[in-house]
Order: sequence, then C-alpha cells, then structure tokens
Amino acid sequence: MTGQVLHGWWLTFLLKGPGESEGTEPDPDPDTNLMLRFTQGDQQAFDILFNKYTRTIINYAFKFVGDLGAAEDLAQEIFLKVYSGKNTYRAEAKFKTWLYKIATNACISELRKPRYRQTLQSIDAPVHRSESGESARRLEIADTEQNHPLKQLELKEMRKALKAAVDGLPENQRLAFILTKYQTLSYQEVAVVLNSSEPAVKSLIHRAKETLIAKLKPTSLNR
Amino acid sequence: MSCEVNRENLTAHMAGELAMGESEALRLHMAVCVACTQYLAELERLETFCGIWEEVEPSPKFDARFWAAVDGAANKPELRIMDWLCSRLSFSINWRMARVAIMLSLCFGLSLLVMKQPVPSGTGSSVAEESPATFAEFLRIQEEEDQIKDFDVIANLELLEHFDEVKNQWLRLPVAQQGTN
Repeated sequence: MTGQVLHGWWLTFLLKGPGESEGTEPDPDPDTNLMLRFTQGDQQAFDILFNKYTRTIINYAFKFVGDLGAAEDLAQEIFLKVYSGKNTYRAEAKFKTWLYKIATNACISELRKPRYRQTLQSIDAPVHRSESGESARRLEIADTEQNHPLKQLELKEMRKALKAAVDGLPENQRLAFILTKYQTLSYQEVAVVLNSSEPAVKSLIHRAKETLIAKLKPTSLNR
Repeated sequence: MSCEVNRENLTAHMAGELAMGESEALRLHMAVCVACTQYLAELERLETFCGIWEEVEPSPKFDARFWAAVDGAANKPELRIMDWLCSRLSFSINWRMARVAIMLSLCFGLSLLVMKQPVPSGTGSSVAEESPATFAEFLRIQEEEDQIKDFDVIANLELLEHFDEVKNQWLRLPVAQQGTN
C-alpha cells in the first residue's frame, strides 16, 4: 500500500514538478473553489457567490427583458439552477463561464416566449412594474445628473433607440455584444459560453458593432 | 491587409483582445487608410453611446425571495426522472426537437401498420393474376371453408325437415348395408 502511494507520488513529482506534487491542487479561480466548497456542503461559499453575482446577473437579464421584475425572476431561476446543480457541477471551466452559460440559456428561453416577441415589435410599450413597485424607468431617471426634463427625455429616447438596435441584432451577435460590452467577459470566455471559437466571437462582435453603427448613425450617434 | 480584416482587428483592439503581431499590422494600415480612421471614430462614438444603458439595482426583497424559493424547492420532493437521467448523463433534452421526433416516429409506425393490412378478399382470378403462390393459398383457404360448411351441415342434421324419415329408413336397413352406405 505504502509502495503504491510512493509510486504515485513519484509519478506526480516527475510529471508535474516539485511545486505541484499535491494531489488536491487548488484551482486558481477563486469562484470555482467556492463552488467546489459548496458542492462539499459549505453553504457560506454559495452565499459569497450569490452576493457577488446577484447584481451582475440581474443586469444581464435586464439587458434582454428590459424590466426589473422579470429580470429578478430570471436571476432567481438562474441561481436556483446553480444551487440545485451542486451535485452535477464539474470544475471543467471557470465558475463565471458556467454561470453565464446557465444565465444565457435562461435568457434565450425567456425571450422565445410569445410575450417577448410582441415586446420586441413594440418598444414603446409601457414598462411593467416590479413587485416592489420600483421600475427600471424610475431608476433610469434617478441615476442621471441631468435633471432638466428635456435632457431626461432625450436620454430616455436614446436608451430606447439603443435597446431597439441591440434587440434587432441576430441572437448570437447580441449575446456576444452584451457579454463583452456590459458583462466584461473576454473573447475566450464568450467563446466558452456560446460553445464557439475565439475567431468566431471576434467576427460576431465586429458584425454586431457594424450593424449598430449603421442603425444608430443616422439618429443617435451624430448628436 | 484588407479594410474588412482591419476593422475586425480594430474592434478587437478596442476590447484589448488583439495579439501583438496583429497590432503592428493594424497600426501600419491605419497610418494610410482614411476610411478605417473614420470607422475608428465611429466605433469610439458607439462605445461612448453604449455607456448610456442604465444599470439596475436588485430590489431589497430579492434575497428573501430567492431563499424562500430555495426552501420551497427543498420541501417539494418531486422526482423528475427525465431531469435526473439527463443530469446523470450530462446532456439536456431539447423538448421541441423531442416532440418532433415523437410525432415523426408515430407517423412512421402508422404508415407501417397501413402497409401491413391483409389483402382484401377478391375473386380467384384477380388473386391468381397477382401471384400464383397467393392463389394457391387462396384455394386452400376456400377448400378449408367448404369442409367447415359440410361439417356444419352434418352436425346440424337434426334441424333438417325430413330427418325422421331418413333416420327410419336408415334404421330399417340391414346392419351390413348400413356399413356400406
């Protein structure tokens, strides 16, 4: 038995070098480590991940559904999947890309529901209020320092135009654009999330930006 | 380097995703191409413009709602066999495709059933025209049917109108003659 252990240790030593000879080498990604700790029953590890990514994931969902209440419902669904996926989680990729994969699938499924198809056609539809009564539109006005009503109106119109332009992009271009621009994922991470390659992601983002320039140039970009 | 490739690299460069070798080529192209310089200005304007998309803050009740949902899910012992199977096998089912596949299989099965329906009984000649083997089978079945009919008549002799007369004549015959008849 001892001989087998020594043999295994020597093999690891020879293959990996003296600094990496430990069998349970910790993953360099701290979030992946936290998720691994959660899979072993450490509830606090999940709490840390939940607190870290709540705002990010809600904002990601918000970019697709355009309503805080719906974005929170989606984020809840996503975190429930993460919570219940602890038994099947494998640290093959970074936790962040695994989370965004779940989030992206949830957002795509949500957008394929009939009500969002209608929403895409009518951008002017009134924004639904969330459970707490706090709508995104209220926040939108609150976070601007330009309190002049005309400026507010102009900003609102510009945001509407931007959302319409982004919503009009093909699905993969939209996902790649939002993931890089607003979620600050690298091309490599986006490639993992979209099950694609880095050159493909590079091309998707380029085409997305070209389309956005063409759509927004006549109205918004030249202001 | 073509302008199209250069513009793709320009977008990547602005995101900090361009390799060192490509950056040099990009710099050289930008020094001589007016159209790409204009495109760079447009890209920069788009980058600034995209910054206006608002960020939202989660509502204060979000955490409580989530943990309530976790408790709710934990208290509901629902065994979803397919989900469990999928998680074990590490694949997910595209339910829309699965439904299409089921419908196609049903259609295929039905068509097989329709094709295997027995040949409708027709005249002997028409059967003979179709295939000699089928015709021989047809004759055999008909012969069997005739035998069954004869047997039926013999079994129901009592029902015949003149059965008693036939029976009496039969009984009056000598025993030796009865055997031959």
